[in-house]
Amino acid sequence: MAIIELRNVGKTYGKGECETEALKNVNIKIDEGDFWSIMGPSGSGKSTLLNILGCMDKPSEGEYLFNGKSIEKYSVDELSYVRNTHISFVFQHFALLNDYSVFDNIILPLNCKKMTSSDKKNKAEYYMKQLGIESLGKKKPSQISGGQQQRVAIARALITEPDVILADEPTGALDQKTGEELMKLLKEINIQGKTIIVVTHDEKIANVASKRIYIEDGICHI
Amino acid sequence: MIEVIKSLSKKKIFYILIMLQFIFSLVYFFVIAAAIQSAFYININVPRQLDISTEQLIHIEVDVFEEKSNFNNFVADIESQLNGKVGTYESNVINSVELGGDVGTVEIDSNIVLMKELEIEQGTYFDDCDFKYNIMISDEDNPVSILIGSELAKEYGVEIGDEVYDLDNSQSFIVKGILKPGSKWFADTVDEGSIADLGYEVIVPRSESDYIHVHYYCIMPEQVDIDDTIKQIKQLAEKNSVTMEAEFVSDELAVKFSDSLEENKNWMIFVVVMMIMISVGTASLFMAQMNSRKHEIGIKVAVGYSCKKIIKMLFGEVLVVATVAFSIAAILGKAMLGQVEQPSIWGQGTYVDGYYISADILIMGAVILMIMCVPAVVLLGVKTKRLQPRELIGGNE
Ligand SMILES: Nc1ncnc2c1ncn2[C@@H]1O[C@H](COP(=O)(O)OP(=O)(O)OP(=O)(O)O)[C@@H](O)[C@H]1O
Ligand SMILES: [Mg+2]
Repeated sequence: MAIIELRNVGKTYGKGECETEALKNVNIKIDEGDFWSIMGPSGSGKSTLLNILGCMDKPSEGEYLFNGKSIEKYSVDELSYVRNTHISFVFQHFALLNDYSVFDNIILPLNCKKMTSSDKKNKAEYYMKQLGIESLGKKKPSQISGGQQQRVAIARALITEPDVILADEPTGALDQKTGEELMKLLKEINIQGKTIIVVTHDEKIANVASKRIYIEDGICHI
Repeated sequence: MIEVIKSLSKKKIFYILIMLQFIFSLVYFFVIAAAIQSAFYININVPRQLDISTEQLIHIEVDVFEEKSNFNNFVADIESQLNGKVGTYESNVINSVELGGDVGTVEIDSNIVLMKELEIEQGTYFDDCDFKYNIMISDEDNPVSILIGSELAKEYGVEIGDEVYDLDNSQSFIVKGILKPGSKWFADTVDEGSIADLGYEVIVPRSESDYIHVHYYCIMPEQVDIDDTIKQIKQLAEKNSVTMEAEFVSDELAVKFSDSLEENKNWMIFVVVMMIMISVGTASLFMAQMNSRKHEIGIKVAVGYSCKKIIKMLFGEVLVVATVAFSIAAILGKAMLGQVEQPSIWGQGTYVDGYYISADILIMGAVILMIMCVPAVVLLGVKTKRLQPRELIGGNE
């Protein structure tokens, strides 16, 4: 069974004259352990698709199935729960809280779970070590490099042990070399069993993924 | 809770500003409310202290230089023609080794018992004979009966029948009764409304041979015509060539009350206007802050914070700030307006004048604070509900 399935999904923003059809009739099946890349020109609907895949937004038409269950009737808070337990995001601009330390940023998703602070600490330390950022815990995001910030964001994504990691141009704010390192890292995470979907402009990066969606004017080509 | 405090600590300056705003307006409110309360207080407290209605009590202010005989005739006329009983009380001090030095006293006339009866814990109240002593011959063989405050009796181990000697006036007293704890008397004239605690005071009967006092009280039978009675008293004063002013205590209190209210009305309107302004200001500050926190909230929503949790966090922050502000304002207000009980102007007693922050005022302050927070809290709620995480991701910080 596919972990995420979209059936005839469409997304329309706005009303009347401002109406934009960002996605049209999308049908995708994403299996557990897949590594997908999403490519397409600017404004083609990549982020829109990713947000729908990640339960950040509900489709205007069609059906979204997570583990075979339709989310159509889920409340906002139930969607939050799905995000918190099954899905993690990595963003182009890292989306770290600048007032919080690296450590506090990493354990942020765990604040929604019933967990002792020593358990949180152990988990955070485990992933920080895995990502080679164990010495940065007390620093603020603004005090570390872009590559390090993205590793912090990935640590935060991994800490909930999600099934799916969605990344919207995760290398967009990084230089070539750091970007490639990051993709290697994502590949390793994928090999460890996580499903990964990456939005990117970069052909090289898209090649790391095993499956590809090309999107143009809201229409997906697989 | 930890979450709330953590989040609060990230926005120090913002919350310090909001807190200052709250504290400032609350303290302001407390001060005005206490002033208004003291206006009400007299009207509540004086009738509560009296055994008769304020419409039965006439306050007579006499010129000190009156002829004693003229005044006595005037009083006799009131008693015979109007059926009123005239009496007075005044504050004094005795100096006695047995009571540990200077002690405040209240000297009371026999008629005063009709206005306010003192309750006795041990022993008995004065009888008629106790008022009929002559100050000149009250020596150790003829001591004057006194009543003594319960705390004073306890502190110096004074019992019924003990003798007390006043060094200043070489006068002997014998303890006839001990007052009930919590006994009160008027610290000043009745219409001033300052109520004194008698715990550390001594009650002395006023002797017949005493000089004329300034303030007298005429206790009237029930239901007299107020205007008519005053007119008659004026006529009797004229007849006996006594210069005085007479007024019903109920009228005195009414005038005081409306004066005080009039005095504070503008302030109160001012306070209300200010509270509204602060409330609007707070709401807009919160709104501005919400915009600057979109990023933070978006990230939290993206990692799985539920809407409920976010709203709880924001409300929690407001609540903590409001509670801290309230506590500081209450402490500041209490410090500014002094203690509930102030030391009495005479003796060792204390008195309450209503110019303090009562529980009622604190509750009102809390309600007002809540009202001030409501627009902010509603805005926070609405804004958070509308916030879409997709607005916040993939985009620029
Ligand atoms: N919140 C929104 N309201 C209205 N229109 C929107 C909204 N978000 C996106 N759109 C529109 O939907 C279309 C797809 O946008 P989307 O952000 O998915 O593009 P994208 O492929 O991610 O582009 P980019 O490569 O620049 O990030 C665009 O035409 C965009 O203007
Ligand atoms: Mg995009």
